[in-house]
Amino acid sequence: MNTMDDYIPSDAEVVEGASQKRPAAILVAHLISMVLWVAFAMYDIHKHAAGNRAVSPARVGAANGKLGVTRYAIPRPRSAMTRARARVSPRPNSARA
Amino acid sequence: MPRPPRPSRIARRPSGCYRVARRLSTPLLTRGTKKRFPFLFLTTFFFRSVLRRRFALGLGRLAVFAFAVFFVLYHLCYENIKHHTDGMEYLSDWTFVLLGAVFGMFSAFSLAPETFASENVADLAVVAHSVMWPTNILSTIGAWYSFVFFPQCVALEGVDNYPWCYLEWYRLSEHGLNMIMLGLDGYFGNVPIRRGDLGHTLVFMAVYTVWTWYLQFTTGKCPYVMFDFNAGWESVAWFNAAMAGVVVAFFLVKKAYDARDAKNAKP
Repeated sequence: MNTMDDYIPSDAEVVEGASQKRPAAILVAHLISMVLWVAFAMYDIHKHAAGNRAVSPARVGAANGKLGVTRYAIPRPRSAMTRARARVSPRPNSARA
Repeated sequence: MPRPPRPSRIARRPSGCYRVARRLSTPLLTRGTKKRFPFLFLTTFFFRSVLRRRFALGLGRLAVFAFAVFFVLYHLCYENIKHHTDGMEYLSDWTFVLLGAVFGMFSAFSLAPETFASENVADLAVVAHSVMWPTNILSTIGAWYSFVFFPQCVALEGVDNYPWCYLEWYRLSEHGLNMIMLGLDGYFGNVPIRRGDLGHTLVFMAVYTVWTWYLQFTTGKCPYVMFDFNAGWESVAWFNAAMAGVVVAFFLVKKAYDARDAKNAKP
């Protein structure tokens, strides 16, 4: 086989593999496990459905920080005095408003 | 008569020095300046618009989405048709496609918030994001566990060329780059992980498991040899370990995101 090519199973191999017998007990064990996990998932979704707070589209798109705006985008320089003044009387477009 | 309390320094009008300093530190982009130094104006405009973190985050998310589209078209479609490589057989393929879809939605919310301001789509994106994180962690840890302890190059690609079959660009994208992209989005983004979305993660895993069963019954081969029915009781343990691992990964991610949100909520 050329090692540069990927292995492609022949039709005979596929038929042989698909028709081989599998241990029934293992199949049942997988099935039971699956049913239990899905039942738990459904129970969990139902239990916490009310507690899931809706997330606003603005938050999904936003970046971390104050309204997702860097200090470079704020028109005034951010000195200690401007921050202090913003606490007393926030400007309409202030990041804290 | 006692003197009335002096108004605090904050409430007083800024002093002359302060006003002068403020004027000097404010960008002097008057009309004349713009006319004389258009390049300076353009530079300032560029930084004021581009350095908005939301916009930058949106661009990053869009780049991830574009890469995911390339990944699907080139690796999952073109290479699969040409060389019969793994199409959508593996969990990492599913999780990477999900990652691309989520980042596509996120980039839309970041770059065009007014256009995509739908609460239902936002909720769908948040649920998909919660599913994407633990499943990507599982596929990544599983791949590196396999790389170290359980090499299966022949089962994966039909060639015994360990370790190179694990170091293909698409596998590194699915098992390394994905975590970097998720981590960056978690750090710079603001999307929460909600407790109620754990069940959706398990349902996603269950759907993938049914897909592997379908592959076993139709082709006779399980994508992962340890989950093959013919591997015996061990396969049952592996399956349950994978589901439990997703649950653990979900709560770890939730803890990290809660810590991030608590840090950001501080005044």
